[in-house]
Amino acid sequence: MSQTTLLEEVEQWSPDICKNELKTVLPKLVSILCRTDSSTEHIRVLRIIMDMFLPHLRLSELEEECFSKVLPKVVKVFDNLMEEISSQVSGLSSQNTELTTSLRNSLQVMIQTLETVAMCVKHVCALEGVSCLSEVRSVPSCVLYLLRNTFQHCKESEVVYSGRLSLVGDLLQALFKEAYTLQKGLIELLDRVSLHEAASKDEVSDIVTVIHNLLDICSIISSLDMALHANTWKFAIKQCVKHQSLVEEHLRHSDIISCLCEDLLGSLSSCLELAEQITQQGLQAHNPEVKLFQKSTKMCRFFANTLVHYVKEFKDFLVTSCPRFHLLFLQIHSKFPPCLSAPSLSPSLAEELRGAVLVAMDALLTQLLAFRPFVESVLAEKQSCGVDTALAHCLLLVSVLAQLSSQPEGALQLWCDGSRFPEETPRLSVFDAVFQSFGRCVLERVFPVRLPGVMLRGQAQGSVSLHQHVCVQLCACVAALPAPQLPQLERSLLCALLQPDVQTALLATDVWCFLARYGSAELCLHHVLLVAQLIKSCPGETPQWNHLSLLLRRMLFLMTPAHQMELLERFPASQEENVGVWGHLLLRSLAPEVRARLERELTAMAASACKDWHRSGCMLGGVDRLNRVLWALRVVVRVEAPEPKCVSSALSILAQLWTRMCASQVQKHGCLRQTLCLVLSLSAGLVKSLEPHTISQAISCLTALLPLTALDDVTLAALEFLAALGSVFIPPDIQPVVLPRLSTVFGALLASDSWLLRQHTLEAFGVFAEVTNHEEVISQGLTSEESKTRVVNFLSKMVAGEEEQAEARLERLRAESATLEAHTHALESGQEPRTRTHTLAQGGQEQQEHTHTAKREDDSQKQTTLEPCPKRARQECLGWEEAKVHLQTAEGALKALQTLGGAIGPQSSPPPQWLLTRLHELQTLIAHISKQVDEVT
Amino acid sequence: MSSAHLDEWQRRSFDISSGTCTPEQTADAYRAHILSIQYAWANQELSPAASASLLRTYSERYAAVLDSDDPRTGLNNYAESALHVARNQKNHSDKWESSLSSLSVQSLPCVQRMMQAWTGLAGKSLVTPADVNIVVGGEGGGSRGGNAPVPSTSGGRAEHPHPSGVGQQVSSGSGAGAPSHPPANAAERPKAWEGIQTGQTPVSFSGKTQPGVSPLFGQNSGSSTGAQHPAGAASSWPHNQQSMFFSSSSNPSKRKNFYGSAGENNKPSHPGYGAQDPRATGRRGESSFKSAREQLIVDQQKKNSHQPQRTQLPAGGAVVKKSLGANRQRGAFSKFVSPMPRQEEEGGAASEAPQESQLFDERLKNFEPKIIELIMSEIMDHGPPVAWDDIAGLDFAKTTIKEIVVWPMLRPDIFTGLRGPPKGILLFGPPGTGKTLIGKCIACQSGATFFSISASSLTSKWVGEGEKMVRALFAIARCHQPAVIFIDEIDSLLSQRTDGEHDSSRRIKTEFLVQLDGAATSADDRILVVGATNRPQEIDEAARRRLAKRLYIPLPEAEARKKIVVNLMSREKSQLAPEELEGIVRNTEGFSGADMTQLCREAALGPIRSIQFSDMATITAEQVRPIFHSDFQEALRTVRPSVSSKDLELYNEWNKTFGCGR
Repeated sequence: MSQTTLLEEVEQWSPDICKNELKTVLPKLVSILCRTDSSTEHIRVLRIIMDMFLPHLRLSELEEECFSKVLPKVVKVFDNLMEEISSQVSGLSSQNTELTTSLRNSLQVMIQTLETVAMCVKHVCALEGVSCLSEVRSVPSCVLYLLRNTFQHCKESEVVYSGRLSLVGDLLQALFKEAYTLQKGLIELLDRVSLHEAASKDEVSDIVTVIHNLLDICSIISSLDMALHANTWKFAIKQCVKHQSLVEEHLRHSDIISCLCEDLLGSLSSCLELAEQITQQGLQAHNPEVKLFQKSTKMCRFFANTLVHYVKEFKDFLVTSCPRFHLLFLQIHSKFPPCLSAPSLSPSLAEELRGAVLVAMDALLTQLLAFRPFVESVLAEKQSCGVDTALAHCLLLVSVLAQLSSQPEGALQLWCDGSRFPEETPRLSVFDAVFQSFGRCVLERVFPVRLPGVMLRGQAQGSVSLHQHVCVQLCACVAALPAPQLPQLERSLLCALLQPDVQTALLATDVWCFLARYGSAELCLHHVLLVAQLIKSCPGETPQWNHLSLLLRRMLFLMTPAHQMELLERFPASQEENVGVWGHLLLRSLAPEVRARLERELTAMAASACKDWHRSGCMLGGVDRLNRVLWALRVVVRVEAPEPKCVSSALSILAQLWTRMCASQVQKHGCLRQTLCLVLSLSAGLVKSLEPHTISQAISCLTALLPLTALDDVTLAALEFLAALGSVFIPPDIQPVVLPRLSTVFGALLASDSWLLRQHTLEAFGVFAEVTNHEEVISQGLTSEESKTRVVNFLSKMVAGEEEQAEARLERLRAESATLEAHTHALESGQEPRTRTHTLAQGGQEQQEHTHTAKREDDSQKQTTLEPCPKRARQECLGWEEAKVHLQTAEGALKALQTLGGAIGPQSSPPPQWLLTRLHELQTLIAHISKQVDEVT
Repeated sequence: MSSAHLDEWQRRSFDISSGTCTPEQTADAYRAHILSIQYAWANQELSPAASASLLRTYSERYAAVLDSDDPRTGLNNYAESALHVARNQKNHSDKWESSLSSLSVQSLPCVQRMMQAWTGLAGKSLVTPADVNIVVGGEGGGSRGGNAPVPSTSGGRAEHPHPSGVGQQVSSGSGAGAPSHPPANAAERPKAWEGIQTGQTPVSFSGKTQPGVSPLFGQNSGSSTGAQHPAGAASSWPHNQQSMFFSSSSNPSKRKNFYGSAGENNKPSHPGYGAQDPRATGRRGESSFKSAREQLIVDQQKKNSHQPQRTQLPAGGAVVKKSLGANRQRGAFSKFVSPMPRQEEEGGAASEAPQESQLFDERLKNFEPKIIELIMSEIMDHGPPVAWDDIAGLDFAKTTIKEIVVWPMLRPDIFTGLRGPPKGILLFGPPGTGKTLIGKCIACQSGATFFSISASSLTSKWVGEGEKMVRALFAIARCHQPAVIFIDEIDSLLSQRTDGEHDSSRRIKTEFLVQLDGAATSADDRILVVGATNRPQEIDEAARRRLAKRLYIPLPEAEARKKIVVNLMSREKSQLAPEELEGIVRNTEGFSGADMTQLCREAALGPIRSIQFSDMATITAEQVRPIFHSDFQEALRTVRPSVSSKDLELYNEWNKTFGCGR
């Protein structure tokens, strides 16, 4: 019997005949199938087998007799068809009907193949007792292969068929539909499969392969069909969980996790895009975009929940995925407000998305909170996160803090203690990490971002600053802090205090004050003594020193009188080296007896030190010491009602010193500038008791120093003095001398370049003008129109400029925060902050020297410094060739600017104000660079 | 660029100076100032010295806002928010021990870094060695320093600024000591009279500059006593919760003075409280613990401290029973002086309408004013005060109630955790045995707000109104903690839920059960529901579970009956011999308290009945004869016990199954 006749005959058979002839005919058919090259014949035979003979095979024979032989061939033919299509498709056009027909034919056969296989799967599924994968093991692999390729083809169709898609569109759709059905069938089949505890290795690896194949399919169909995508994922995860104990060691967990994360992020960003579109165009609820948004949101929720579920089940195997989780947190949170990179959405949409994603993220965090690798990843010393995710990192840490107190001890230790042993992966304490990340959120603090506050008394949440948010959570954490974690907190607080960023230090101070109020009085005393010791041993007036003294000042309020006395006894104010300890406090924080004693001791010490200085010939070398005692004297004098004794003593010191202040020396010697500042400040405090001719001296000294450029510290101190002068009546005999000078000084200062100084001048001028008897000073001080308008505006509380556009402002702040950060880094690594003013001749050398020491230091203690050393190293090896390139670019840009300026001409609009400012800035930049180069050579 | 900075700065500083900012906004503004200064420094618009001085100034201003505990100007270290966040956590602060020592600090990397980084730089004197010997103010010295160009320029300049002649002297003087003399003398002369002048100021300021003492985190009044507490006082509360920590001083020896209160004005930071302070502290003397009332006030103030506290106090006082505190001088509670009733007694502030007070309360805003008014005006009991002594017999019930209800209300700090009071108790027993009286007594003696309602006032023909009433009742009770909600005939409200019953009554039950002990109820709510019933067997089992303490109030025993008769007769003219009294008591076996009262009433009518009708119009009150034993015998013939022995068996049975008594 020839093939054709056999086929024709068999096609006529009734089921009974088929059943009887099964043993003889099926092998023949299978061999025909395997031999044939024609795809049409192939599909014909396949159909006969599946339709007519399959029902009569027993379950045990299926694999052996049929599937193992037939299905590989099916796969092969399918592959051939695909290849054929892709080779021919380039010639496809509506004119070429022949090719179109053949292509359509191939596609048709493919559809039919899928159909037949789906039927076969359905049949197997319907059989009683399929419970073991090995009984039909070729089916899943074959089906998954077919599915994969089909979906791939559909996905690429737009590229493959390019403009001719319309010719085959209907078939492709049918193909996709068929594949969809097939996958559904397979899922049903696999659902029935169950494995025993003692399943063989092969079976397990089969299941694992299936799961991994499903994963592949997932990544292919992610952009094709949402429902299918979700269902496939659902099923894959279900399989993982179902056979958990068997497969958990074989699954590629990190792949699964990264896929899930990618898909979550993908659908989130598509959600955000849609939401932005909706918000911008003000679309209504029935719009397709809105529907799509809702669908995508659902996907987000699904992926996020799936992730949580998966993590819950397989946590122990996810060690390597922890950095990914951390990154995911950052990526997701940075897409939501208050992060600045988040798109602006309408509140309802944002709320919907929040509910879908962030809730699950919180659950994920709870899952991972006690998981060591995750902790290590979050608290790693060197965070790779960029500027965009700095806030997200900070918020993550804060939400960890919020959950920490309800955690068991182990988790608490993990987060709080930091790494203790060298063999551990190095990690920070969570407190350290919070402070660091807070420090890094420069832009967010400048902007400033707002966060939801704590809900109190059932009132709606108000929005609070980042500082308050972090501070409240830290304090709450402190309020529930178990004793073993205190040491780490102390260390972190101290560390945060000793870094140069002021706001971070303020945060630490705030928390420390809370700690002091919450803890025992003894603890407070202990801390105060430590801080005092540190202040004393601090080598000079550095930012850190300021932070420490501010803390001390605030903590003195919290001490008991007995403890204050103890502090005074430990650090007697009569000794000069303790001046730093007492130089910052507020007298009214002290108990009366402590205060009296302190005043006495400080005054006596100051008097004797001044006397010594005079006796030794008023040498410049002794000025340092003089400054120190003056500093302390300021504490005594700058209260509402200083003790008469102190006043008289201070007055005599002042009178002596004013005669010694001479403009030229002040300009030349930094230490004398300091003295002048202190003397001015002291005079401001005692202005009412000051003798007229001392006032006159002071004013003339200030006039001599005019225009006070580059002496901004003196300016500030002078302003304090000038403001205080308002309350004094200048005696008539010196009026003709003093008053004109006073107006001159005011006039000069009001014209100051620096906005900060100008602002402070305005304030001082306002204070002066409000109370003074000498109104002529006011009018004479306002020499120029410009300053007149400024003062008028200030007094009527009018802000000169327009409110900046939000985006322009953000752009400006971005640039500024970069400057700020660089500055903080420089300070942190111990470089002297670059000084603008009166650099002494040796200043350059000093700075250079210092950079060297800093570098050596960096090398010696790598473990402590956080700022990237490589950055500086790269600068060093920067070849001058590179400089040439930059210079060329700059020259080109400048020339372009020049031609632009020429082209505008006089008749067009005048150049904007900013152009000139920017040009000036460029100039200073160039000057700076040349100075640097000059210094190096 | 800089103009933008200036504008922002000005906007902020105008805001601060306008005085309309909240403390939060002020603090934020100062922080922003600080960042601006930092940027100016980074951008080299400011020298390090100037920026340091500015940063110092603004940090100090910021600190003043942050540490002040005056709610109008200070933030009190964010304590309110922080402790709210940490409200359910334990306080370990008593075990805190610092690990830092002056030695270990030196070895910390951050400290070392600071020391090293700055030694080379800041440690160095600003004066270069070459200049050390320059004489300040004496130009001649400058030339010796070897800086050739200096003297000529400075010498020329120096003449310019000193017109008064003193400067001339300085610039020409070459010695160090000589030039300083004349000005020194000049300064000494004015010092003498200035000293006299300023001598007065310190006197007037001495009060102001003394650091004011204010409570640790604000709210409590007893700060001055707090500071003097013996140290042992704190240890009497080993489980110091946050709420306690706040109001009392767990660190008694610690001073808590802050910028705000220690400031220029010496007025107390809580004006509303100021008036009460001396009295409260005086009465309490040195007692180191805190009554429930204080705790309540503290809690309420904490919850409502956004309102000015001046209005808070009378508002709280007005809604409490008017006669509360009448029994205050008696018994073990005489130590507790409740500020609220006191104020009422003296100031008569209680006349303030309750409606006014609840307008303040945030938590009641979701309820219809009508419902609230109804509950406030009708349900809250204003009856006469009742003392434990007014209840005859029932010693076991009284002891139990004192133990589980009254004491926990008075000392919530001790009764925590397992000792926590039950949320509900059920008084059951035959009618007329004093269940209602006990309910009233609880309210009086625990100092709680007493809500006495009958089941019918909670039911309404309007669908949904009933649940609302129940919800409102509990919400109001929550506002007036501690509170006792007494529900007479509770069986009609909480009868077993059956399929056939009306939907609305079922919903009321459900709502009641949820309110009593459900998700909405927090553990630290101090609300007690007292139910009274004479049909305990009809109570729903879920309700039975929630009314955890079930006390049998039996018929009065002989002793109690005697006491009732004596009590009642003491107000009448009567002549009863002791043995006659015994006889009456013997003959009234099975009488309830109400029956006894009825008997006495009946007997008291005896003398009236003996009066001839013709005399009725003319007889004076004194002429009515006393009550005799015979009157009782007569009365006993008509008054029968109202409780059957079968009923009693039922109660006993139920008591055995579910009761908590003996």
